[in-house]
Amino acid sequence: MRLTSLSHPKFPNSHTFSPKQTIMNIQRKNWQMNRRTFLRAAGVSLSLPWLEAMGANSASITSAGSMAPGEIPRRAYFSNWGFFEAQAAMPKDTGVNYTMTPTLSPLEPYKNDCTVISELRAFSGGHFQQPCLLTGLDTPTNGMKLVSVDQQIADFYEGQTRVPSLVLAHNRTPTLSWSRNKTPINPENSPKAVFDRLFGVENEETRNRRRTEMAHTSSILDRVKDQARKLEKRLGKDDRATVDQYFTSIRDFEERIKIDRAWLDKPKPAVEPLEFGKAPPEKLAMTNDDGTCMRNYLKLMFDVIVLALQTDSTRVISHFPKGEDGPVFKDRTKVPHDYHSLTHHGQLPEKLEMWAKVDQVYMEFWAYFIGRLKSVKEGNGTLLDHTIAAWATTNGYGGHGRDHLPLILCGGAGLGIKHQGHIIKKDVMIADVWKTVVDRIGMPVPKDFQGGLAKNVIKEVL
Amino acid sequence: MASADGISRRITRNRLLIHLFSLISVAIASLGAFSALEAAPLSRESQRQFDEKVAPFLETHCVKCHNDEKTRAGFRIDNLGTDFLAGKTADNWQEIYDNIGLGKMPPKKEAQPTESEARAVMDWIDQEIRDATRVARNMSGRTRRLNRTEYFNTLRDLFDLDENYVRSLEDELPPDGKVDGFDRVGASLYIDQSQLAKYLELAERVLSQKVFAPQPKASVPVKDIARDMRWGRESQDGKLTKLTVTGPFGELFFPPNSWNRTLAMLPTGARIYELKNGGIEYLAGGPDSTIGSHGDWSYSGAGGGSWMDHVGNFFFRATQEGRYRMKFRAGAFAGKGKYAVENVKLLFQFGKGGEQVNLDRGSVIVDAPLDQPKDFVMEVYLHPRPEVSGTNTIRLTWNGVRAGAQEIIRGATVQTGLIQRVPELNRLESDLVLEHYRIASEEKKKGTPQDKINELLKSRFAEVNEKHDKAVQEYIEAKKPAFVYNPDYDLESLPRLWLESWEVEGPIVEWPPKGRTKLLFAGEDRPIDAGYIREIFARFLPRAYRRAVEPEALNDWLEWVLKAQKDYSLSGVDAVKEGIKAVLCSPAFLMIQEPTSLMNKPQQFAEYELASRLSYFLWSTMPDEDLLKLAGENKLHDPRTLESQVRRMIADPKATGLITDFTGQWLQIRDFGKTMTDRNQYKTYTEELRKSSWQEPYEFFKEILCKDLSIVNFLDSDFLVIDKQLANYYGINGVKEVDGFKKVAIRPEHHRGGVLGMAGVLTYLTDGFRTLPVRRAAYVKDTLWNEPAKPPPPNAGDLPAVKANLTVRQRLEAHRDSASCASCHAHLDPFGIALENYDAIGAWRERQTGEGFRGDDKSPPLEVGGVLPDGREFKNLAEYKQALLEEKDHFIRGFTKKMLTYALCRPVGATDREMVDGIVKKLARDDYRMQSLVQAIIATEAFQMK
Repeated sequence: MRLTSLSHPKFPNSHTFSPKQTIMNIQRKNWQMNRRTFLRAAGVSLSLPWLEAMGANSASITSAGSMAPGEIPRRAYFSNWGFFEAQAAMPKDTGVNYTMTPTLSPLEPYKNDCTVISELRAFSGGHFQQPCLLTGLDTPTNGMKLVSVDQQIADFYEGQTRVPSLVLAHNRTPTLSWSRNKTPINPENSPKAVFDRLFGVENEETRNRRRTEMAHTSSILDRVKDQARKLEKRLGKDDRATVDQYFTSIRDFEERIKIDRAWLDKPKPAVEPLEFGKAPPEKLAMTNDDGTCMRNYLKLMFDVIVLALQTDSTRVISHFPKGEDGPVFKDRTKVPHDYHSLTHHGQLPEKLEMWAKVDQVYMEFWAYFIGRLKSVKEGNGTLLDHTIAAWATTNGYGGHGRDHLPLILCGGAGLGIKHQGHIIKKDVMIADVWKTVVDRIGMPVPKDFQGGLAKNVIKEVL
Repeated sequence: MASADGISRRITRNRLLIHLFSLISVAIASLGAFSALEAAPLSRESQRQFDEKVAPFLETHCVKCHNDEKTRAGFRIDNLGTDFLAGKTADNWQEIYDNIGLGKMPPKKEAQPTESEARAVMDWIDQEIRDATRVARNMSGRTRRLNRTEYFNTLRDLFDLDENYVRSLEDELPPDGKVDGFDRVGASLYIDQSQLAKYLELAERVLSQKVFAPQPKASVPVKDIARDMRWGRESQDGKLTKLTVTGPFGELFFPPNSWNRTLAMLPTGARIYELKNGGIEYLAGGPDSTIGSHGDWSYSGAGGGSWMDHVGNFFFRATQEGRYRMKFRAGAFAGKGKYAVENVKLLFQFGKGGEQVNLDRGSVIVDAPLDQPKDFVMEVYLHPRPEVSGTNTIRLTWNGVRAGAQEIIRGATVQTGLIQRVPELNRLESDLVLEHYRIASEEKKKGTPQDKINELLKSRFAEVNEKHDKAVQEYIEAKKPAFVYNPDYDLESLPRLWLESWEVEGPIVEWPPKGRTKLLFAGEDRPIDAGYIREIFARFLPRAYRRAVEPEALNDWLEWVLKAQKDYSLSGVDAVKEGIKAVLCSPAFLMIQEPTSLMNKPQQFAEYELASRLSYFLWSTMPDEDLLKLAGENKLHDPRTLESQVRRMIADPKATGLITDFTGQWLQIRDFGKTMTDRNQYKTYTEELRKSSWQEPYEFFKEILCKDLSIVNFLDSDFLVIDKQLANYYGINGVKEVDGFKKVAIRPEHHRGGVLGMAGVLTYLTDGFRTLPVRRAAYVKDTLWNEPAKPPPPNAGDLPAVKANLTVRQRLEAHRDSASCASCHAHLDPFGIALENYDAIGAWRERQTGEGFRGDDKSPPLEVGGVLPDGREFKNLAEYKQALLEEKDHFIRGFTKKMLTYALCRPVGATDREMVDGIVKKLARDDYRMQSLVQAIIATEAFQMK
């Protein structure tokens, strides 16, 4: 029921799907649909995680391989990598047999799992304008409201995973993700915190404590809701905006508690603990300029991300691994400058070359991530096949241009993505790529998607 | 939405490409919920006049240069709506009015309208604005939530929390959005579920960690006595230990402390301290010579020891954030002659081992004579951060001469510190090091790879070691001192520090905390029953709600608290906590409520509402008891009371609220950190300079506010408010370190004055490497000229890469050649080019520097002349500032509008024209003094009526 556009509770006026999607949705056994319906009737608006629906033990990730293709959830991962030397990185030729550039060379083993798209555009490319990547529009000034594509996908899957989405970044601001209420979401930068939230072992005592906490919170919410109702009566209609938002917040909070309470009873997936070290890796990452700490941090974060997707703890992630600054991995690249001054290259070839070298190291992390996704078996394919992972940036040449933007779209072969090597989409908005992702996820394109900037899908990859 | 397509329908449908940029500004208007003003379609008569007179005029004379394809001066007319209450619509029409009225538009080379045609349009615009003003006055929904700063300040004052504590919590909430540059307008202050969850979490935290924290164990002071110094290495028998090489050759000799083990045996000779008068008197200081644990001649090993074990352990084990107090019994001599210091200062640093950032620092000046020591207290707020791994480390130093400094002069190491290794040993090291580098560079010339060179050098170590050890052995056997005092130093003239003891205790926690005693007002011993709970909330609620609370509301709360207590079997204290948590999440606390009457007629703010408006305007926090008392007695509306309260509030320390929050946003100081200045290129830009330069604008504003000076001083002034750091930087005498920030008179040759000479501002408006005159220009136009530059249209091209070595001015001229760029930039750039005499770190220069120019005689002299928009020319910075002063009305009006936005918490636009006019007239009569402005704003109808 959930995936048919016409009857989705959240998108009552949505468009119809393309035929490909409908086929994907139909492969669902009847008994499972009934089970969901039963649960809804019983007052628990919670659909079973797909692993359990298949009878597989959701607590163990080793049995991930035993499900039917149609049941595997469709995931999306979005990332913004900040400054990037695109001139040198983008291949000169196009097609599936394009010539690999040094910057992209770490992706060589995954050439057929990725499509490099160049010459895209964003709404704004300046400093601190990274939020426009996922929202389509510029960062908010004068009260402009934004919503980002990852949150729209999270809403689409609401309640079906332990956490609706992960919003990750190396820093607290700016954030890439904006909620359906057009409010910014504070990102998490600690891989350990994420890990604990998803996999931290809980015993009955901690669970009881959390249940009590939730009960207290609910009663406080009831109380303040009451207060707000009384207040509303005294306000003229122009004053109501803030109180309306307040009501919405309470309602959303109550929904979240309901979902969390249901998930509290479900055991978390058992995974091998990761070695986070004694010092928080996120704090060390920026301090060590030869890059060893950054390497460790990125690797840990990607490991946690893969686990999160693999265990279906979440299905959509936005990630801001590197912004306008970062280590230059001196031990490998021997670059004497810091990252910021590399971007002020003044077109000097040596500086451009150095910049590209540093970017190549960062690209190795992307390759690591793709490799990990590919190594997890799922159904007849891999986790990579069922995840669309986007590597992107809004910082064009020298960090100030919003044109000539590169984007690397990876995975999703099991969702209908056909990789084309390198394609040029001159002056096409990145919003079009997101429209493609949304299409493959199987959700209707929301109204005013990307501020109205998305025109078409990227048909080459479909 | 009234008529975004009003005009466009008349123009051409195809030209209505929904250009996003303008769509957004119109969309803001139409987001009725958030702009809080209703849409107002034109009356029938209005619409008729528009259709007959205005629209054709616009189509003939305006639209062909002001549409989405050609957007001259960034201004579009083709999509201008006629809803004068929406967003910036009225302001845009005002601009059309002004330009036609002054004859500036249409441009002279175009066909001109007749007098009556222009008049008709202007009259129509004027009438519409008047009508809109009247309507706007009747609507002013302004209920908004407390912004982040206000929220934490309010918590601080509600529970008497430490300022440091609440500031360290601030990051828990996301930063607030801004409207018209300020984060106090409701439209940008959203609430969502994660925010609400955070409020709940923060309430819990503050209550359990601070207000209802369990009684801490009394902190026991820990003390060390200097004369109890333990000597670490005297017990070794005289055997020489061989040095093992642990790193590249250079580390054997640099710094001298790597000779630790052998030096332990050497009769050292000169020392950096003397044991006398029951304490230790230090002759050397500086960053290398820490106090408490040090060697004879430097900070490690070598015949020295430690006397700070207890204190050291105390800090090592500290885990709690809070206020710590240290006491030193000390005396000092500031020195004579060239080594004298202004004051002898003890400097303390605390942090995680290995980190250079996130250090907590403290200092104290020791101004007692050596023979009449006193107790000196230093208080530091420490953040031990137990969640970060690494041990706590401390450093205590003082600003005496350095012991072990050395420099390489003409290839030889010259020891410039107080203590020297004897010349023979020094020469040995010098020769060995030189040979090392000689071999290395020869091999490099031969093309030997670096790792082979390292190997080669390493292989020589054994031989070098032997030479070195032999020399040292000779010294030991001859019992010759290895260290002597540098003959360049006159020991009698050196600054000295004498210490007897070092004591520390903390965290200093007042118990019971004030917040707690205020709540449990009848004392700790009274049992918390229903009666006490009632009384507690009877006192707490009005403070939390910032107004009197009706008995029904109190009963209501009480009922809830008691029910919660029963349902969850809570203790008395926990029930109170639960109630307070709920109060801290309720709308009455979180929001500044200013409900309008349901009759849509303007009315005065209630007394309590006025009290809140005043305190959040001037203090960014809740009203204090005096204000609430006056409100309760209905006295606040009396103009005389109001005026004297305002004066009291400005003089109160809490006025830092206005100073920090207004200035921080008006001058964009909060964003100064976004510019990363290149420290390699600008070595004089130290951390200390940065800190001082960020503080300067606040201190300047404070001076003008508290001393009630003219606001024209922001444009240019004959004084600055600076500390010693800045005084040195600007080349101004008369400021001592002890003064902190103080007011100093300046002269024209200093080239400073007003906001535009401030290093912090000038450094911010760069890309970290070179100046950005266009950004500077935009900044001046926004902060000081009341005409913010319009953002570049989204189709503005990227600047092409520049190959030739052009000056910044030349480059800007190149990009003004395109007519479409020139339409904005001709009026914009001169404002920033005029400031080119200030380089990328705000230092004065006469010639071009940066990016290939060195500022020497070969570099072109700077040409900073230009023309202001109305034609006034200037040749240099002084004339530029003079021009700004002569046209100060722009600034006066702009500044008034900004302060009004801040005070009224809503955008100020064309519909407020008369009010602004009134204030500006009053200011002119009062010499433009700051407090006059503040009083005038508070006296406006807009501030007092809703």
